[in-house]
Amino acid sequence: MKKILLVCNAGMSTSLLVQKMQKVVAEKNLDAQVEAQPLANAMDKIDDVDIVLLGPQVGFEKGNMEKDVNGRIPVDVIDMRDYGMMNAQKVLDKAFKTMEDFK
Amino acid sequence: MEGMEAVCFEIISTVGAAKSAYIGAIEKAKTGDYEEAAALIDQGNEMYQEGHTAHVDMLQKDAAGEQKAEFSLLLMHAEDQMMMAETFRIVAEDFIDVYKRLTSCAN
Repeated sequence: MKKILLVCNAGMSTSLLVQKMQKVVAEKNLDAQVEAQPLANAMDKIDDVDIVLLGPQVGFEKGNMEKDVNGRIPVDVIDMRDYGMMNAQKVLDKAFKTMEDFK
Repeated sequence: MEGMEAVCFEIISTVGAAKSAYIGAIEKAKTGDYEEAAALIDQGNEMYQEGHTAHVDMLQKDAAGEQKAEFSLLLMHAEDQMMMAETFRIVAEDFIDVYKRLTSCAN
């Protein structure tokens, strides 16, 4: 079971992306769980997940986030276009690839 | 994704990415990498321009009565991100200057 954490500013834009990703997960029967948290709450969740995906508007936090996860899991910034188009499939595909390459 | 929602997401993603680029530019200046800092400002400007264009398009369509820009929390968030990105550009450009001066004072 791969746990994916999406992080943005307030949770507004990522929550829509999460819904779409969860739909893809259900449709394709993927072994994954996707949740979204605003930046302020993300710290409480990073120990429970397998990857952290940052929205482009909080991409600047990548360095800090990598320090916080201490190399345990990958931290990636969601591609601006995939995010803008809310392309759940692409975001999921990249997330799985990143987790695969990280090992 | 329809109409207003799509426009809002285009704005949020592009100006949001611009904001991150501007903040990244400050980080680079902090470590003395002024070339990379300048490159990030340029990248940020390109991305901001995309969001700005989408925003202008939305305003024009609203004024022409083609597509009413209905109030929504998402639109408010998009506007807010735009203002934040612009603010950070101004701040980043000045901070890069300050770091350059700090470095030359120290030397």
